[in-house]
Amino acid sequence: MTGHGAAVSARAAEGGVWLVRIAGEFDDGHTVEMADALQRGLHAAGRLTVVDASDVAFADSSVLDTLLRARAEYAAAGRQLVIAGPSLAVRRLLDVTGTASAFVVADSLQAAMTY
Amino acid sequence: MAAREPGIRASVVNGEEEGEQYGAGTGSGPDSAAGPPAGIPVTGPDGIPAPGTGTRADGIPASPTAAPGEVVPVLHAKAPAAGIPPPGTEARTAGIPATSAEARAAVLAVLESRFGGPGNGRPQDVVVTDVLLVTSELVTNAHRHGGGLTHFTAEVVGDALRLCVGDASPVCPVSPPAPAVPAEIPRIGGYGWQMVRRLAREVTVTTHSAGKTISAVLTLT
Repeated sequence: MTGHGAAVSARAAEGGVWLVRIAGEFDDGHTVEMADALQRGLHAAGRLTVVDASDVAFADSSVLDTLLRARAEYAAAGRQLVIAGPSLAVRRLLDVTGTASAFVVADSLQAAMTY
Repeated sequence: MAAREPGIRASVVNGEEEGEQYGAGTGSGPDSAAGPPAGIPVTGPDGIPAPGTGTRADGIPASPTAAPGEVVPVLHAKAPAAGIPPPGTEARTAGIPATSAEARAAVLAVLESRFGGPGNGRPQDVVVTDVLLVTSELVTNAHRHGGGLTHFTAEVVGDALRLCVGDASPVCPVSPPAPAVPAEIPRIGGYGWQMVRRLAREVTVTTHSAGKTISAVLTLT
């Protein structure tokens, strides 16, 4: 577990990737920015959105709901959404709920960028 | 927390029961009183009544006391084992945290004070992750659906962490029913209580006139 707080950044990266980075602790009160960043990726130029989840120290069911909602919206829009290098907290969230198979998960950010 | 008459106990390990829904993305509140009827003890999925462990004066289920040779599928005896501090020195939270993050920090502090650094029987990272997840879901639900957090304790008892989370709603939480056929596309919402039930080795809901207390026991080893 690293520090407190939740940080979200989003930018157009090389290779037509909308890169959303989430880091820190995310619970019920910290998913709005994340949802917004994912939403913007839906309308960004480029071919896919990558969520760098490698530095997420904590994530609860509200994060899962946010990701599942984004997954549905991306699927409806025919856009690709990839979760990159999920931390233990994120992997556990997906595994315990049995939702991992609903997502495209890449082992690393580097791998995700080439999807 | 004021003293309450002993409430009913719904001890569930892995079944499904009705009531308010945790982690729902819909923000639905506990306005349908679908919990177990008052006064009727709810049994586990195997039909065996919940272990009769009594209720403390503060309305919190007391720890079970195991007779020699008796199998108690809950907390094991509080008798100190080798390397475990005697009663009274066990780490325990104090006060009611204002947020889920504060509750998680309090639980981490309990684990730190009990186990110290790595190599001292400290739980694995995945166990700590699970403990924090359950803590967060319970506290978030108390705020979102339970009318506010009224009680919070976390203590290491033997090989387990015992969380007690009280709120102001007597309605029991619920997981959405599992689909008959596993859904290809997972639903959105309703995962919080499901994770609590999956990760805790025992979950007990005690209702009383002013709300409920949920006790979740997680194995640390």
